[in-house]
Amino acid sequence: MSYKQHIIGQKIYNPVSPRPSVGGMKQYKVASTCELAGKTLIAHLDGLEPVCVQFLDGENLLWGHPGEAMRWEPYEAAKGDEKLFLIKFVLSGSRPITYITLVWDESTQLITCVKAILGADEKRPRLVDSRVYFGAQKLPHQPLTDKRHAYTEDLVGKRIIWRYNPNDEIMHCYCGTDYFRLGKSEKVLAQNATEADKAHYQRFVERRGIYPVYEEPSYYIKLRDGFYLYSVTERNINRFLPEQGGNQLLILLNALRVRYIGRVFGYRGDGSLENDFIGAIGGFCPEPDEVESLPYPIYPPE
Amino acid sequence: MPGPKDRFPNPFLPKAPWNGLEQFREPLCYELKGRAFQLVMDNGHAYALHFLSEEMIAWGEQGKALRWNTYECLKLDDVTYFVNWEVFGAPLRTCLTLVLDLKADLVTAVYAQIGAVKTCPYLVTNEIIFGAIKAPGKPLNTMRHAYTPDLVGRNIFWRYSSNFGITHAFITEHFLRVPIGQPRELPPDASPEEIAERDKEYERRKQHLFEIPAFYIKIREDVYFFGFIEETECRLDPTLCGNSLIMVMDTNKIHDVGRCFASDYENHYAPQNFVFSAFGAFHDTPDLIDGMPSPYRIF
Repeated sequence: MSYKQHIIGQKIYNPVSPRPSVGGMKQYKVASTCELAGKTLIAHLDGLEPVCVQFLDGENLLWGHPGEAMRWEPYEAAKGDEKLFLIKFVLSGSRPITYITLVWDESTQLITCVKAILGADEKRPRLVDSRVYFGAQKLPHQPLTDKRHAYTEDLVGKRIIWRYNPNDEIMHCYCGTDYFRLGKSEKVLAQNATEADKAHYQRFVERRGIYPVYEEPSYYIKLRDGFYLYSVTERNINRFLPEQGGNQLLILLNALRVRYIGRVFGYRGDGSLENDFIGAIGGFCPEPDEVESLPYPIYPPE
Repeated sequence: MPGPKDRFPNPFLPKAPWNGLEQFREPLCYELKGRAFQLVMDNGHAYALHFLSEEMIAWGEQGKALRWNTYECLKLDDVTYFVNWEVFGAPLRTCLTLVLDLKADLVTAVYAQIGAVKTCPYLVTNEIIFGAIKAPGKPLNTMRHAYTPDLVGRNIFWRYSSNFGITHAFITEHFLRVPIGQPRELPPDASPEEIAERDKEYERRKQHLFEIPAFYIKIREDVYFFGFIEETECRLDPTLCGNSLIMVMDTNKIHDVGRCFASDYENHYAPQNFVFSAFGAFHDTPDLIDGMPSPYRIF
């Protein structure tokens, strides 16, 4: 197996489990955490009113600005490191759909908030638009730190082969400070593919000639030494093929252990809404992929 | 440890501060902080377990004083916790490992020691104790986790780090082998010396069957607790270490979390006790070990 070939519809061999393995990008995702239960976060995000987030239990939170009623939302959290949390929740009833992702580093008291809006542009209903807010946690009787997470070039020129499950590898190429490519991969349809697999494969067929290389805008944020947050939004593919792409992938990378937790926000190929955690293990690859030598940008700016 | 021959060298970490098994370890779980459990074990004793903090645990037998230790915990899923600590101040190195099954209110414990066998001073010995967790307002569960043949005949290739993986072949209910595999791949321009070294190493593997005692316990559907002790090597050469690895795994996700209780014979028998995670794949690759008679045991 190599990241250079992706067999769509290939089932995960599992002679023990009575159910098919979950597969996809969730197979190697580790369990979510309930550790935030009972904690309260006072977040000061630059340019915004302070916000109080009260984690009622492992699945429910209240949030609000000073003087406002607290609003209840279900949430999910995962750990990127012992004291580093990725927290996600949808703002219920928001139209267009607004999705909040917080990175809370309890060891540094720094916070990054990514506000993602699905379909902010009516002409491109699948496209996610996101905005980043940096900030810090206010602790009682302590001044607010003026340090912040910040954009970084640390990853530029590096690449990781990620493994999501026993069958699938993919290469993330961190080509520039504001863009990202996937290593070249041939798509093959499995012999026993289902109708859903065939539809999934067909979407790759439709890309041929129109979108030959996966190149998408991205941003990279340094959380602390060895820990990064990066975003990839499938803006280009959605521009050329409006029924595809548009999703935002947000990844909390532990570059020391070469593993990640992340979340995908957007529409799946079948039109259902996706806002799930994913996870992978990997290895830094010293050999560049052929896509890295292509001039930038492959797709001219909009 | 990454080294010059690593296929995937980490530019952020030229020298890893952890053992090669530990790289993919997920963040430690602190969820149990503040929680207390009453464990009623089949050895006839009941124990209290109180997670004092993210790193401190107090534990003890009913009617006796609790003593505290530092612990580590990994969470396999929403109801399965793997807890491990080494008992401070014990005459022999002693390690306690628990699988807390909060779905069924059951617990399985492994009481492990190093030094209990005088002729093999670094051999780990395990005692497995089943039990139940007394949940408030509920009668004690009379069911138990139990030994299982479910995994017999299966192979899993586990990845522990970017550069290290190994296959566990579950050959019987009581033993595990490591397949011999294929000769190492070499680049097309490999020198005759490199080829000769590769062939020599492959011959060595073929001559030495790695077969060790193991246990396999079913926690629930798709969740198994298994472990092994590198006893065979240690029995043949007592200066080696009969290390013990214990894991709880999710066979649907093919993911496990575990611990290694060991001595490092390459480093003056330095004590080792660490937790890890691995991510795997089932496979049926035929291997020379298949059907090979055991040179060590009659079975």
